[in-house]
Amino acid sequence: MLREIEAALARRRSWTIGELARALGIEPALARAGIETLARLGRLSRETWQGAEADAACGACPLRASCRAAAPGGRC
Amino acid sequence: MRVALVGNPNVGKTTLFNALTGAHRDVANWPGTTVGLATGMARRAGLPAEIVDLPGTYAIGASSEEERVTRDFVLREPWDAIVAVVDASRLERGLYLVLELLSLTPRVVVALSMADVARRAGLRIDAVALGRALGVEVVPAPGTRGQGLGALLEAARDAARRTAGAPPADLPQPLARDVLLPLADRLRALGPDLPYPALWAAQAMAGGDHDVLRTVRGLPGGAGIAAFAQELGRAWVAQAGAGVGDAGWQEEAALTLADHRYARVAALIAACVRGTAGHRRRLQARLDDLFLHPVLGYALMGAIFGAAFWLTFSASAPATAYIGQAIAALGRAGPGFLRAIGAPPLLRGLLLDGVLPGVGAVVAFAPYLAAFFLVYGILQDSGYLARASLLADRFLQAIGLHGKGFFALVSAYGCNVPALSATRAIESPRERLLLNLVIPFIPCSARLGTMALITAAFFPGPTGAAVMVGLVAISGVTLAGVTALYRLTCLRAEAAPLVFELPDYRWPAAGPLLGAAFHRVWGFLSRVALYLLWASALIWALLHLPVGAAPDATWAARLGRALGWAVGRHLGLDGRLMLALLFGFAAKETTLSSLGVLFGAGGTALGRQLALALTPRAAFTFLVVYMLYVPCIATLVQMRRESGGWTYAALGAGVQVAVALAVGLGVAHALLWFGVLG
Repeated sequence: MLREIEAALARRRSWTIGELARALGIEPALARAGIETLARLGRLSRETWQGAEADAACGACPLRASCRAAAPGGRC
Repeated sequence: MRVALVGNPNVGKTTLFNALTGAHRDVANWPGTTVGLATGMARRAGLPAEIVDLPGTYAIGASSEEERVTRDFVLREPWDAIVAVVDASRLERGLYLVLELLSLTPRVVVALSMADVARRAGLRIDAVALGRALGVEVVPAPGTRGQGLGALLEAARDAARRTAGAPPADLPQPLARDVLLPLADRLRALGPDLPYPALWAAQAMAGGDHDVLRTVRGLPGGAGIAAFAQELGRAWVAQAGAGVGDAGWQEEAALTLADHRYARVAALIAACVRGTAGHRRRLQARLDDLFLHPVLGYALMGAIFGAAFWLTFSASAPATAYIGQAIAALGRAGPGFLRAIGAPPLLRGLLLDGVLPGVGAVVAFAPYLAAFFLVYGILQDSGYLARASLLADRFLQAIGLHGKGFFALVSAYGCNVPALSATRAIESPRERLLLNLVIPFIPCSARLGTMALITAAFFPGPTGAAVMVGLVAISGVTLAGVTALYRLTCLRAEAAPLVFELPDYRWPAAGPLLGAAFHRVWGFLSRVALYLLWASALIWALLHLPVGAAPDATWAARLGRALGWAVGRHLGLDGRLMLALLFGFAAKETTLSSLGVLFGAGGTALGRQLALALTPRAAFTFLVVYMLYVPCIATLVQMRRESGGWTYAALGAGVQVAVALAVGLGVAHALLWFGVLG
């Protein structure tokens, strides 16, 4: 699975977790864990993993609806 | 009995620790680290046991201090059983750690936490089957009220008695045959000197674990074993034809081991977990297929933004008209009222010709702003804005903008200042600098709001929606062009691949939407209020000073003529428009109030005045230059902070002014050439 993730990322530089999981025929959670492991093994930039983590945290945030980060001068 | 709690970060280990010990804890740092270890006695379950809460970790590796502490404790400290706490809603990561633990010891119990979260996500876990497949007991983690504590401690006691019976090591072939098993045999020959289980140590050495390699080399005969490992590894990669050099075999071995472990995790989940969330996920996937389609996705994006802007303009037009009429009535009643209360002529002029048109120009368009932020909120909360940003990001990648630009780019549409701060998460200074230089090209919500207001003034009705879509498209193309320019000149680099987590699609809830729209409109107007009064007064003063000067000899007239001659005439913009742009540098919102004062009209009357004074082509060119020309002062200061000095902030601002003028010139000539907006 990890080699397949590496190959997919070499083929195309930008994926959503859902796209990647479907392309590899695995669960999104497994793709997420695989990316974290690749980053930990030094095969992938930590940016790649942490980017996904930050997006996930923002997407799952219960305050997203009233988030001030998108307001003028707002902060997350 | 001594029991260690091991698990990923944030899986509820501390909650379990508190439930077991009654939150009575002693905390001490692990020697040589800043990582604290909490210990306490479990008294509530009738089985006395010392509980050790180890730092959260994803693996028994050595890539972080937390991992190292957990690993050192498990390998070197005396303990009787390990309770591996696994988040039932994120089994993948937890089971990976469990498999690593099982390669070290059979004395493991798995405690499934977050069962309620897993249930809500539609996951049903067959704990008995999972336990059977792993060869250890799998129990639910006790709740906060202590139910199930006894069962967990009994399972830990049973595990502590287990000296054999762990499932046979499941290792990838041919790595096991060619490297791991022969190496483990040699390591076993070291006898009790070796502080690790031999097969585990063989895997760690093959994976390039520096701590284990150093320990083995330090043992009598260890150097020979390390050399033997190198020979085996080289032979393995040569046979496997992995295409890596001698030095790369350990990285390949680490990847092979991790890959194999994940294959087991996937098989365990397939056998022991049933999901009922499939329908929802399939629907989300189908929607993503549509909205992220490489061709259709962009067409839909154009249509959705077009409809959003159209809705903004058409829904708010009646309210704007009412407010405009009220301001006009105020303007008519004002002179008589001010004379009646004895206001001096200078104050009357300042209030009626300066403050009222300036403030009125912004206030009259507040309904546009409210509608705009409401539509913006719908796009954001429905999950579509993230998809649109991803499409934009993919477009940008084609010309080399990357790194973790996505998150910063999304923030930039809200406000450039936090977006610039968001670039700190990017490791590469070059990537960070590039984003810092190009983010101000993205129109923030203040700029978008003002653009919507100015567009409404210049292009009333549905034409305004088409104009806004055109402007946003121009900003995207300009951003791409400037990025390519930086990439080709001073910031050459290859970007890292990115994986995005998109939020789920959902129906926006009315309450939070209205609340957020109100907050944003209020934030916009209150921020504007800071600048409006002084900007309106300053422009009025420039228009009337020196005292007694003819209208074409005032300071404003001279400055406007100079700017108009130097720049404006090439773009088809007169001195008044150039002055409005100049004042927008302080805060983008002041441009509109400046126009109100300069054209002597507030509210909807400003639109009529502008329509009389300018051709649509000049108006569109003005909007393009306004959208791109320079960041506001707050953004410029943030650019300096993020790029470490004024050099790059000044470079960025200079490039932005030059690009805005060049694009404005190009747009003006293109419109003239094609005879559009004549």
